[in-house]
Amino acid sequence: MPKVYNWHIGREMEYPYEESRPEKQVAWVFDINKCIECQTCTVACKTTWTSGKGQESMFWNNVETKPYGGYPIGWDLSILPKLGEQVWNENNVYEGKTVFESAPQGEKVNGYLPSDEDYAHFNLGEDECTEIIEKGAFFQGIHKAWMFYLARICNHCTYPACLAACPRKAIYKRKEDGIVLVDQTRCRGYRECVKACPYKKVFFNMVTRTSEKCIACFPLIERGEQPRCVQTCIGKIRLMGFLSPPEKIRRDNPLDFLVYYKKVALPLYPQFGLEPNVYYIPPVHVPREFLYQMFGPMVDEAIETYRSASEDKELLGALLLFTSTQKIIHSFRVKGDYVYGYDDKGNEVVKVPFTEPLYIRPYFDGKRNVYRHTVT
Amino acid sequence: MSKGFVLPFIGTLLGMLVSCGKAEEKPIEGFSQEIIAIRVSDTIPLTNPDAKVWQEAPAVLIELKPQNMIPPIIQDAVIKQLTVRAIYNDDYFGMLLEWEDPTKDDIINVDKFTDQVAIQFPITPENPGSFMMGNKGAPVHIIHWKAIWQRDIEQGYLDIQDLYPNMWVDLYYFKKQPIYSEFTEEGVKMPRVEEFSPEQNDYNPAIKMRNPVSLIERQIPVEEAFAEGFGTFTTQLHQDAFAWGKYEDGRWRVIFVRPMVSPDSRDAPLPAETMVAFAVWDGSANQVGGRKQYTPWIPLKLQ
Ligand code: SF4
Ligand code: SF4
Repeated sequence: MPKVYNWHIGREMEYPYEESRPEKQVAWVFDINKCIECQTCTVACKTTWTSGKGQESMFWNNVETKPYGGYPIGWDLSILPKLGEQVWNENNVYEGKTVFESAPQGEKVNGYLPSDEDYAHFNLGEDECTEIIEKGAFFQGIHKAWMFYLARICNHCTYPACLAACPRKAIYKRKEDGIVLVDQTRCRGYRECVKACPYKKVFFNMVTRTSEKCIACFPLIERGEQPRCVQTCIGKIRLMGFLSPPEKIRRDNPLDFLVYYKKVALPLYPQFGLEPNVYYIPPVHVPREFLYQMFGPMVDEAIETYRSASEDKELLGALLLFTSTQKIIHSFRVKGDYVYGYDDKGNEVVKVPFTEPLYIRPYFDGKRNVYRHTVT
Repeated sequence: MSKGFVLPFIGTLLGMLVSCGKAEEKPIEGFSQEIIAIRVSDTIPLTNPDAKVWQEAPAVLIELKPQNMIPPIIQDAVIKQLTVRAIYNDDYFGMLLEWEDPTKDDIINVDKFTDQVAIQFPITPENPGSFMMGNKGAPVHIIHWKAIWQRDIEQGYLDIQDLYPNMWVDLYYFKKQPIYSEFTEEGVKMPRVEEFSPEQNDYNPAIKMRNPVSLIERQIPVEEAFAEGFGTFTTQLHQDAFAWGKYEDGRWRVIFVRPMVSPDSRDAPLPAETMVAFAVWDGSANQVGGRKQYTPWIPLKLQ
């Protein structure tokens, strides 16, 4: 099996195909700390792409409550034990096995096929926190228990397990932007991809009898716009853009900046070995052991960097770009008290102030002879 | 003659028909290494495995092996043998395949797979190539039957409400007009996918693009394909073959019929001596694609 380099795990690994990075890689940063689980993203995606037959319980975008929630049920709890011991050495190199390396004989990927019931409860465990909160308890500065919201889409992985497992080569990764797609004319519904994707982000449509997955809203991306889940995010937790190939990293590319320079956003379960391209800013109040398991060994540094954003104008500027415009931001610059975002031609597409201007109006509107309910 | 008399009489007659018509296992020593097709003067039955004409051909027992060479694999064969009869006349060639399978799997769902069987002929019999779906320069002709396809034809295209009879969806949302579910006197009426216009299948690109596995208006439960190696299975433009299965007493009996001479260059010729190979899938063992029981090439002689 060919060897490819996976920078998330700091080493080469086995993958059924040779390394072939796209010209640029579609990528997202999600700031978990800001998600309010309003599910606006989920509904935006659902009405856009999965309102048809056989898609009734299919959510390309879902938001689940961790630690107990998961869609399909127990997806991560089911795959994690299959990998065996997951150890990182002191140089942040993963010493355990990926889903490719731990595949049983005769399989390309170590996976499992969920049952139909696993998809039947889209938000099981919603808002459940780790402990029972006593009656009368109130917030005293430290949370007594924890939970957080994990928004999930397909990671358009650099080393997709779905693609690796498809015996028909019906799944492909676009050279121009790294989007991973299932060819709906070639797929024959074997479900090898559904079984293989450890994130369970390829779905089987029992009416078309083919597998379907997130298409990264490529019709929007092709006209320079961010996907629907990003555009509609109420908590402004999302930023979509392109990661540059390793040799062409640019500091003024907000995705490169957050992921490669600041390392404030981390891949979900890097130990799976897929080099997933949705990067998460870890939730700051969650016990570190849980976060190490979920986001790898760089969690402490990421949280420290995130906490220092108020003193780092460039970082704060980049974070202010989240869900600030429909357009894809290819580069950004902080000037004075504003951060500017530019498209691929260098045209300004957004200007965000560091401090929202505050206007206070008099309580009484003399012209209309009424009292105002809101004065700011 | 009273009715009471007629019924047992018909019953006995039916019993006789069934018992003499059923393909009886002739005692066979082990597995056969070749298949002899017998020339018959009758027509080849399309759907009736109990037709007498099948008795004219010897039943040969073929060993099935687990596909454990090319991932994804199965470790062990759950279906271990196949009984084959072959007949032909001037126009058509027919095969009756039988195997034991305790469960009839004729639906597909996220975690449910269908029973299937396929036969394969070399397009160049003098150089048959790999029995695993041929190879470059040695293509193969595959005729593939699936239980789900036959169910689609017999009972209508399997839809979500067939899998979940108590389900409810308010509406399927479309650009021009949403399609609503209704409460009627007979109960809940959910729209069926057959009623959707092509535009309303925007959400189902596989149906809209006429993917051969997503055909809602399927007419025959079989698909003819061309292949030149693993992963190259391609549906043929011309569908000239037919197949029909019958499940009874824990046993599938599937008839395949194809023309002796086909104008389609992607259909294999049928000279006096050629090869044939088989593949069988058990749905309840989650078998699909390469996860199957197979046979290598077996000589096929038309007598
Ligand atoms: S729209 Fe944004 S804030 Fe709301 S659930 Fe989705 S990711 Fe979270
Ligand atoms: S997240 Fe899953 S479906 Fe998406 S590219 Fe990666 S392996 Fe494929």
